[in-house]
Amino acid sequence: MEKTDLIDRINAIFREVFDDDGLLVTPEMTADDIEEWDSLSHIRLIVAHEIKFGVKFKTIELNGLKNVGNFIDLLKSKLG
Amino acid sequence: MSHKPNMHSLHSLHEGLVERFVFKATDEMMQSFVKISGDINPLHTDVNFATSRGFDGVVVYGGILVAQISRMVGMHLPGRDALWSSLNIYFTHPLLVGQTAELEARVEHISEATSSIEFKFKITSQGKKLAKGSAGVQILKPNEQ
Repeated sequence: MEKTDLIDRINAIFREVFDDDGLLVTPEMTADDIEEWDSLSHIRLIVAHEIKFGVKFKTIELNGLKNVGNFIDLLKSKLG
Repeated sequence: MSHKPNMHSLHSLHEGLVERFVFKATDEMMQSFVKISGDINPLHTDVNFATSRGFDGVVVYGGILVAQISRMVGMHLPGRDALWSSLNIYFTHPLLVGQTAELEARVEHISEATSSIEFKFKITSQGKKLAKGSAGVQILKPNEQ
């Protein structure tokens, strides 16, 4: 999958979960940058990525993430 | 009806697991729902109106079908430790008061990282699909001491 395709798909999931059509994902983005990013929306975000990309994350993998860029790298590693 | 909720954890569930139960839409349910919702739309309260609009009887509130999904979440999938987080539902055919229906739910996804599950469901009656959709549920864990 091309990097831009991946980012576009991730961006679409973020927009759907946070109900914000203007949201643009950046590698530096964190939960502090999105007001709607709480514990329940976090679950929806992770589960949506698992289902749409056909992958599964482990708690320990997510605990080590510092920003969205780290999450994208983790997702890319699972997609091979 | 079972009076004790299941006590599923992530590890006692598996993708593909199916739970189902049958329920009957009664006048008592309809009257209770009027009190809960304040919805006295005649499609749900007036048989003459309902038949004048092409239905064979009073149409059961969609909210009563949603209440059965709540029962699925809180009593079956996963039961005691459920925290319901999402619902998507499509209503495709009406259920009429006095009719019975079956709710079937199938676990589609288990997320270890978020301690949550997604299940798809369908509600059927007399060979017709009345509603379908999906729900997300977190499985709560006890506070660590």
